[in-house]
Amino acid sequence: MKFIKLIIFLIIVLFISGCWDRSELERQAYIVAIGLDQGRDKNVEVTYLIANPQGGGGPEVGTAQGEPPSEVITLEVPDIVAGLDLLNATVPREINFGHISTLIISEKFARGEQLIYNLDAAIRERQTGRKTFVIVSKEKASDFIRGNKPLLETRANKFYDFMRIRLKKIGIVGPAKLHYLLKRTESKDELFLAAYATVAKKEGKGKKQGYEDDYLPGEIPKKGGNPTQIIGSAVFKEGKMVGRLTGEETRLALLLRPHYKTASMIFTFPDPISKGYRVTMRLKKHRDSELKLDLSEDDPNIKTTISIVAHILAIVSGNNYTDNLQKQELLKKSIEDSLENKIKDLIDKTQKDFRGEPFLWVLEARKKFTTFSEYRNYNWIGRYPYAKVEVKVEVDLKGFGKQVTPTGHRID
Amino acid sequence: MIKESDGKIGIREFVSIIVFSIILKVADMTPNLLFKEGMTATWMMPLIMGGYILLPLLILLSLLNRYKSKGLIELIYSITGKYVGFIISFVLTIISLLGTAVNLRDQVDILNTLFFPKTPIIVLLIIITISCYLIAKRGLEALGRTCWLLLPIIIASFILLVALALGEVNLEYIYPIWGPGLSQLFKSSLLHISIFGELFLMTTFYPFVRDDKKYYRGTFYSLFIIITGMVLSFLLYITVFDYPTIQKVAFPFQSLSLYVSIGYFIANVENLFLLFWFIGAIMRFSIYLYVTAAIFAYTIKIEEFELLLFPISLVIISLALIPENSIVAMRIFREDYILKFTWSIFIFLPVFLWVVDRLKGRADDEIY
Repeated sequence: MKFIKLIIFLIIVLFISGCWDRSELERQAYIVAIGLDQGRDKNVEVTYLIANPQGGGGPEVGTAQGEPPSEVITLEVPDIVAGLDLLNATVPREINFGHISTLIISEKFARGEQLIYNLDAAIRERQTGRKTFVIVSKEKASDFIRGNKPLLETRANKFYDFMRIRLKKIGIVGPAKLHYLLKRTESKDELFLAAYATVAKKEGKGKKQGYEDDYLPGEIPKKGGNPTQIIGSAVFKEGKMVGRLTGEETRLALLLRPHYKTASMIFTFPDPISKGYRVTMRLKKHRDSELKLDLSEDDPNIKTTISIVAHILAIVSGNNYTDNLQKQELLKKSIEDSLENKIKDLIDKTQKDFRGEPFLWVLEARKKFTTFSEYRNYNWIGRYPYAKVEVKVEVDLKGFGKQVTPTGHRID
Repeated sequence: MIKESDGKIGIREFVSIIVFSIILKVADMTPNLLFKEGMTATWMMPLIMGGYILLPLLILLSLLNRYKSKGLIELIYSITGKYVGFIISFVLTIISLLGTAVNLRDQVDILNTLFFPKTPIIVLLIIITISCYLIAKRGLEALGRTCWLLLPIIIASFILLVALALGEVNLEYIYPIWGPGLSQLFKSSLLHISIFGELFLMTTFYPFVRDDKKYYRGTFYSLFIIITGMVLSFLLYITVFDYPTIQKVAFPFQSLSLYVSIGYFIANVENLFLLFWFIGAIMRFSIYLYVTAAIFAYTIKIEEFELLLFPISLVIISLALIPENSIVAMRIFREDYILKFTWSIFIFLPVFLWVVDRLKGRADDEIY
């Protein structure tokens, strides 16, 4: 009897292999990045970057040396998901969306009305996650995906993943997850900062002198390496791109977020004594900023104080900002002024050009209301452009590296 | 010392059964239903609901205590008599049956949408119901023990999810603090208290718990665990997704498990949570099946109710196939038909029983 039971049990095991949804690892094609361009009429041009887990490897077991690490296919279809079966006209494997980590949208498409409805298709699909990294490319997304030639990474998905992690740490690109894009579009009161990128065609001289971070993609004076430049942000309002921020403006916008913390941002500031020179600092923000909102009047009153810890990395002018306490004070003051002025310009830009704020101040404003409808009636985004904003920056000079007085410093 | 089985369950098993039957609602479409009403303050709703059901629950328990060794249905019969008792019990059977069917359908729809899109719904339904039938057939003791064994695993998986999601949490999303406003919050909490309805239906098994006092304590322990779990999960959902986004997410638990990752390398962990959630769901529906069979058996006064499990499983499968899709199942069948109707039963039935018992009791006193 027991034996018969065991046999029946073993037979049942044969049937629990997934039936209709059975899938073989080997017969899957994993899409790791998707590009979106405007197509004809209401169609979109979708570029699929399909990873080849076997290709591009060394002479190890299980790799196919002759195969390229990825395949790029562009289709014109009504939405991202509609192309799933059409892809199989070229690709012999079942298309799997489970590993999409990057979404690249061309600037032209991002500025149009269609984008947000196309994202709906992406998020309705069962496998696509909200953690997808959103990049806006200056050129067509298909050109960007094809033009991106990472030299240190063989696999494109690894490149995008590493980029996302690294760029978020240094702040020249914001935390640009698809979830935030959807969330901020739905909340209507916040702006979203997507990563902004290009595959620069011309090498060498950039358009302007942006010092350490004040560039838009394609403007960095750089030679050699991968032509891709990801710096700055594409600003989204209500699901549509409305403007852009340079790397530096993105950093300042992030610093203005009350709970944003960063371990390292390298900034340079004009030397307060020797004109033309710059002092290089590492800025850290470990504490929440102070943020006070007064919503009693028609126009909101916003006061915020940002505390920053600074470490001197380089003093090329040779001025003694380390030993000399008066000069230290002078440098501190000039950094605070410089940051405050830059922030002021940025806030002007958000109030006049974008008519909205990416600083998450709305979360503080929400605390002032007891019910959701009161908060909605207040219409934060409508009032923000008229807000009076006061920003104060407090800098603590904490470190000077492993030299005290600058080498060859001028005798005072 | 190994005690001989007496067909009764202890406090641990009892608490685990109740917790399993209710807490897993945070992982189906129930949150979606509640967030629509509670907005940013949905996390308070379980607390308010707990407050609402406390009094009716206490009344019911004190009644059960008076009529020792009687379960809910027997109690109804002996207080209200043959005819009224039958009507009330039959209504409870229907509620339990429909509740099981709709919740099961909800579960199957999630599985179908997120994990097995190509498998027909009826196949998933049959597979789940067969598993539940096999578990329920083992009886209350086995159910209790299995739940007690699995409870730590489910709690651990929940804690893991919280830990993974912690980096995404922003506590500021819970503002504006009162959501739709206090009065609205209390009103919609009242309309949804049947989410805790299993607490009432579970009193069918009053005589099967080893000790009356333990039943009291067990009920409150489980109420405490359930409310804590619900408040924490709703807080987690709102602080990760924010309102109004959370309202658009159909399956918050699964979306959250899709959103989190373990470090940078292990990005897709949803299947890990699918495992725990599915085990929990199977237990939950086994309990539902068992309770429904028991209520029905007591209603029509059959002793051996384990024989009813199979026909009732079939009825549940056919009922679960009626709604066309999950939105119909949830918004129309569950919200409009079941929830909006049953909340009053769970509030007023204990009060009604108590009043009738009082009146009768006084009459009895006059006789003696």
